[in-house]
Amino acid sequence: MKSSMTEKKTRQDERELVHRAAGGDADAFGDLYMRYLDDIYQYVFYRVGGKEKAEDLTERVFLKAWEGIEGYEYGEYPFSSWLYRIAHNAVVDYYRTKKDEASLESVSFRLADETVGPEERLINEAEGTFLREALAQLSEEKQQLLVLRFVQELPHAQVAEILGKSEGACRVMQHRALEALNELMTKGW
Amino acid sequence: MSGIEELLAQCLKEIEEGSSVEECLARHPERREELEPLLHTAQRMRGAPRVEPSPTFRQHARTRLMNVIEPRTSAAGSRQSSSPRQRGVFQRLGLATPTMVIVMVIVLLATTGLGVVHASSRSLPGDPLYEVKLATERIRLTLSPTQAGVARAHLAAAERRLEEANRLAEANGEKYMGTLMHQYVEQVQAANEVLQNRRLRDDQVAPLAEHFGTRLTHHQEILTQIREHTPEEAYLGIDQAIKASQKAREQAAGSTDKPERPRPQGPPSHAPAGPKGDPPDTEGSSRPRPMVSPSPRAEESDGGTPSGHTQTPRQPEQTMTPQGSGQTMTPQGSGQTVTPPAPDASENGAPREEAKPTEHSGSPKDSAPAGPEPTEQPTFTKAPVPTEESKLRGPSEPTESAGLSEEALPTNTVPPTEKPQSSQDPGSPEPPSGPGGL
Repeated sequence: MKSSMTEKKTRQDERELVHRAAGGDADAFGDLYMRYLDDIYQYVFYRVGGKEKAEDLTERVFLKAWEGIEGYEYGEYPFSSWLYRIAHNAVVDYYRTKKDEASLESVSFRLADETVGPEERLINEAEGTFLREALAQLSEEKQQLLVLRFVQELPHAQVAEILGKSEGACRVMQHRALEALNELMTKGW
Repeated sequence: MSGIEELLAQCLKEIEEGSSVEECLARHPERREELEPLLHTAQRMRGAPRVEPSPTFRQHARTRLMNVIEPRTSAAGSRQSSSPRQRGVFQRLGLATPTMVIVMVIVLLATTGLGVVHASSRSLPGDPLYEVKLATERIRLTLSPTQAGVARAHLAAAERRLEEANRLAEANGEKYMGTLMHQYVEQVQAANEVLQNRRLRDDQVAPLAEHFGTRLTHHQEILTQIREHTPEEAYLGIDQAIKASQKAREQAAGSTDKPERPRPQGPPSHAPAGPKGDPPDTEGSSRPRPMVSPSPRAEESDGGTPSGHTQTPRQPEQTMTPQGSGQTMTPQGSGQTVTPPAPDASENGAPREEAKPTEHSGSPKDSAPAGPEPTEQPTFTKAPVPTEESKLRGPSEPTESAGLSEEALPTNTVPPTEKPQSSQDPGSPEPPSGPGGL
């Protein structure tokens, strides 16, 4: 009950911020930026690998969001879904113009959890690198789905919204993507 | 009976709600073989280490963004209504709107002559007279008799922003850097729009394109130097300015290759200019220029000159491109700007088509010296070893003369850098082409 109220307050707060940002209030947009920075960064990171690239793309995502926020209608879909869509398009554009670059050249992790010991950190980094490399073998769409669904832990409905597909189509894609990833992880690439 | 896709989705939901993989498999023994590897793969993905931006990035993230986005409000305001920040300035000046500033400029001209306007030419953002300087630029634009003149006035205004940024960089005054870079981009885009839309006489296109090429090449050098004297927080804005400059330069170079636009009406290109066509691009010589004091330099009649740049009246190109175009910034993804204003936003939502959705594909993956046309922009000259005095005055201080277009001409004093190549992050991706295809 309490968390539901908090969630409602957060949504109202977000609606207010979005409304102000759409009206040109840069501070309000700055608040939204800080609110979603980590989520978008993580999404972009798992799509492109490499912290510098992820940081740069993350900034560009928010610049695009600022440019387009006047056209965003709050309530049509969550603000975060809108941001993820922008992030997806930014990643697609990135690969479109960087085809000749090796995507995995600088997969460097900065783990969010700084409390872990050095050994565990190494293991986590190795696992992160392995997953990122495996993901990179998949099609853009499958990568997008898997990262949104399992790394960002978004519900099916929101992933479907971001992908612009029906939930049914998303479930089919989810199955295929997990199959493809499983095959890669077991047989290598 | 559910298909495997539905069953998988159901199991995943149960796991999200607290069930274990084993419990789910036990409920569907007949599909265990199919489900088990998929659920374990999903669980492994869920366990992917969380990542976050570096503390340095996070610490300055908001400031960097604000440096870039804040101007949008004020820039838009300068075209339409005044932004809160501008209103603040106007209120401090006891004025209501930017229009009032224009009125004030006219009144000042009528009452005090050109002194105040001249004094404003040296002002920097934040100075009381800065709004007068901007208003003066708007007047110049309004009074430009030709489209080519408008383009040059925009380019001259862009150079003023560079000159101001240059001076601020020297004084560690990065506070306004984002604003200036944004305004620079706007002016360059506005200038380029005139050229690209071909609202020019045919014989004006090539000289203007050449002029653009020369100036913009030099802009990129200046911007690169400014970047090296500016804190990291300002990089984003400067990088955008570099890209905008690069894009405009490339488009200008391409504009001379375009077939001449059809002229459904109006006089032929060789016809004397009439009311429907642009007069010859003599920028000010063909028409009296109200409020512009007679100037010995043709270029000043159109946009004035940013203060502080060594003026080399008849051989400007040599100083303008000291290193040649080969060493100019070549931002990755040339031809794309970082901030196209929300083109995709109108589509509200369609995710962009992927470039190559291939399974197992291993993803990812100037010009010759100026011709007969007079140079309208001032020259930025690299000061090899600027002395304290030269920083203020420039190595070859131009003769100052009063007048709307006679601005102080400080030299670009940011010293040459040792870095020959782009200051952009080499891993910097291409900017996306729109705000999310949304």
